[in-house]
Parts: sequence; structure tokens; C-alpha cells
Amino acid sequence: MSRYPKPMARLIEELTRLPGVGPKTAQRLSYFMIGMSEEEVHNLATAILEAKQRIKFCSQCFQLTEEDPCPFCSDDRRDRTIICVVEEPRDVLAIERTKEFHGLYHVLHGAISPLEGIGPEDLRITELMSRLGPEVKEVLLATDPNVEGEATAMYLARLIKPLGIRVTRMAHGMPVGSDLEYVDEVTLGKALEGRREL
Amino acid sequence: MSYRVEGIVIRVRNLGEADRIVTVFTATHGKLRATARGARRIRNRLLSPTQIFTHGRYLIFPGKELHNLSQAEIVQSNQQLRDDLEMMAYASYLCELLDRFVDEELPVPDVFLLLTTVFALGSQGRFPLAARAFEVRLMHALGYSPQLYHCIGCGEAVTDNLLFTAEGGLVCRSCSSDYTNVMPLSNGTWELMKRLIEWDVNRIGILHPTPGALAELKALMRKYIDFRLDYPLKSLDFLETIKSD
Repeated sequence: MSRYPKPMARLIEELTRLPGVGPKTAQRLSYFMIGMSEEEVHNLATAILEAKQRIKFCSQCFQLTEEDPCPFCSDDRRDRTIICVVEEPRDVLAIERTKEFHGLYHVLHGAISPLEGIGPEDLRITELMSRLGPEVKEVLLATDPNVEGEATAMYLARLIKPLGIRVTRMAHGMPVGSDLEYVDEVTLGKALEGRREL
Repeated sequence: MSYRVEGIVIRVRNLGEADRIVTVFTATHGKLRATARGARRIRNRLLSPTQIFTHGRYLIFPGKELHNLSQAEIVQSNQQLRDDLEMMAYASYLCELLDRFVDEELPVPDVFLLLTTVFALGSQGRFPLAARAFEVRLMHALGYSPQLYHCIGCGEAVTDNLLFTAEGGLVCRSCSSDYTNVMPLSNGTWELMKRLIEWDVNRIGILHPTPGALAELKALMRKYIDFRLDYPLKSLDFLETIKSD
């Protein structure tokens, strides 16, 4: 028999489905929610429901959006000659925070992982290829610098280069503000490989 | 009590926000699964040594189900295996094969030496041979070696008109109807198989088999391995999609 009243046990069970939330955190969150005013709880529940119902994928770049096409794809001021390819919707926001990129995006929704059985057909690659019209001059591959991200970038480069489109990759290097002696040899090796003239 | 191991990372899975579950294949302790806390954080010292295919030295704190991996240093990063799509696909296939066939915490030192050798051979662009050598020798080391001299049905010596079955190796003409997956085996491929099993692992690189023999051996070993697995290998589809051999 559960130690909690039925509705609370259910709330804890639902909260443990969230990433990074274990039974203890779920229990703490449940107590907090029960202590909230009815209006606050209503607002939270409505916000979750509204986000779920109104957020969809942009039909062009597959970023999460309320309107289709998304604000990036429908913004005429953005550079339409360059497409930045990322793995996940949150990567778009990370790049936007730099304020250095003004082109369009394409979200693959994953990366190639042979050991997990995720192949090119499981990603939004066909949709990317169909976007590569004559106006696109460069594709910037900004997948993660891990083995899956590198494999995805290499696979895409193989497909896109024969079309005569410039294919670029995000640089590898040392984290800003780090100490050289603590940087691992793989990163340091990549940083040396990609050194540039001052 | 903690202990130090030398091993190769054969599988990495993300855990929570910043951790990894790493499967390390070691010479002394076999296959170990350990949690690497914070290993996905950009300035964490475990970030690079816990990447797949990395050969490193690791400090392990034993746990009930999963161990804890707390310190690591790289012996050989095997970066070239991650920098080339085809090499990456081949290396992933070898790691999956190993992961599926080797039990946890069962030391098989010969297989560790085999893995380091085929990774080195593959890094020199000789993965088709390295992969075939790995398949044949892995089966041999784990007790699934194909019979290459006598018919598995009647025990008679077989020297010509060779037939091979995925059920165990050579089979003579008269016994062949008792077995499934029977394929003809050319003399050249037969010799290659014997050498891959019997030669010292460090000498495999001096072999230069014909593309035909490698293709035939690949087809034979694919069926031989499939026969011993409950479900298919995930990495094979991707390898077939991208490779050019």
C-alpha cells in the first residue's frame, strides 16, 4: 500500500517520468505543488498543456515553433545563402546567443549512431537535401564534436560536396578561459591542427 | 577497493544531464561497465578519455551493478578512427561484436591484444582485412572456432570441393544435406581463414588477400556470426550504407 494519498502518489509517479527527476525530487516537487495556491497550480498546468498543444515543428527547418514557418525561416533579413545544420532544437538557441550567425538553420533531430542503430534515414537529412537550391552557397555543419556528431558531419559532407556547395565545420579548440596544461591531448591536438595566423 | 585497468572504450551511453555509462574492454578484468560522473562537461578530465575507441588507463571503484570510473589517462586516443566515416563504421561494428559476444568481467587477454592490433591495422586503411581477422579470431578465442580440417558431420578429413556451414565449419558433400546455410568455400579463402586463426596476431598485416577472398570470407562469417546471435547487429546497416569496399 502506498504511503501517500492516491492523487499525490499519481503526481509523484508522473513527475518521475521527467528527465533528471528521481523519486526523491518528485516527492519534493509534489509537496511544493500541493503548497502552491490553486491559481499558481492552474497556471502551471495550463502552461504545460498550451506548450504541448501549440508548439510544432517548422516545416522547413524543423525547429520548434508556434507559427509555421518559424521566425528564422520567415525573416527576410536573414542570409539565405548559408544553412547551419544542428542536432537538436536547443542548439539553435545556443548559436543564436553568439549573435555571430545570421543565416538559416536546419535541425536534424539526432545524430548518426551505428551502435544505437540510428542511421541517416532516422534523421531529417532528406528534408535538408531538398532545401539545397541554387541560392544556397554554404552549409555549416554544427553537429556536436563527439563521435556521433562527427560521423553525421562527415556523412553530410559526402552528400553535399558533389553538389558544388561549400561545406564548413565548426572549429575545434581550447575552451576560452582554460589553462593549457589542463587541456586533454585530443582537444589540444585538434587546436594545433586548426591553428591560425594572427 | 579501487583498482587500475588498461582498456579500450567500446560503448558509451549518456546518463542524466552530464554523466556517461562507459563500457571498457580491459585485458585483465574483461568487459567492465562504469559510470563516469560529469564526463560530458566541457572541462571535465574524463570527457576525452571516455570517448568511444579510446585506449586508456582507468581507475575503477567497484559498485554493485555499475562501477565508478574516477580517473583516466589516454594511452592511444585512436582519433583517426573517429575522423574517417568508414573507419568509424568499421570500428563501431567491431565494438558491437565484442560487446555482444563477451560476458562482463570475464578476462580474455588474447581478445584485448586482438582488438588493439586490428584497430592499428584498420587505422592504416586496412579495415576490410582487419574486420575479417577480428571476426575469425574472436570466434576462435571464445570457443566458437569453425572446424577447418574435418567434416563436422562424419569427422572425415576434407581437402577439396569444400563446403562450409554456418552451423560449425567444413562439411563434406555427403553430410551437407543434414545442415542449413551451406555455402561453397574456395581454396584461397580456406587458406586465408586458416592463416587468420593460426598465425601470430601481429603478422596478420603482412597478408594481402584478394578482394574476392575477402568478400567470400565476409559472406561466410556474416552467416556464421548471425547463427550465434539472438538478434542482428545494429551497426551493420550503417557500415553497408557507407563503405566503398
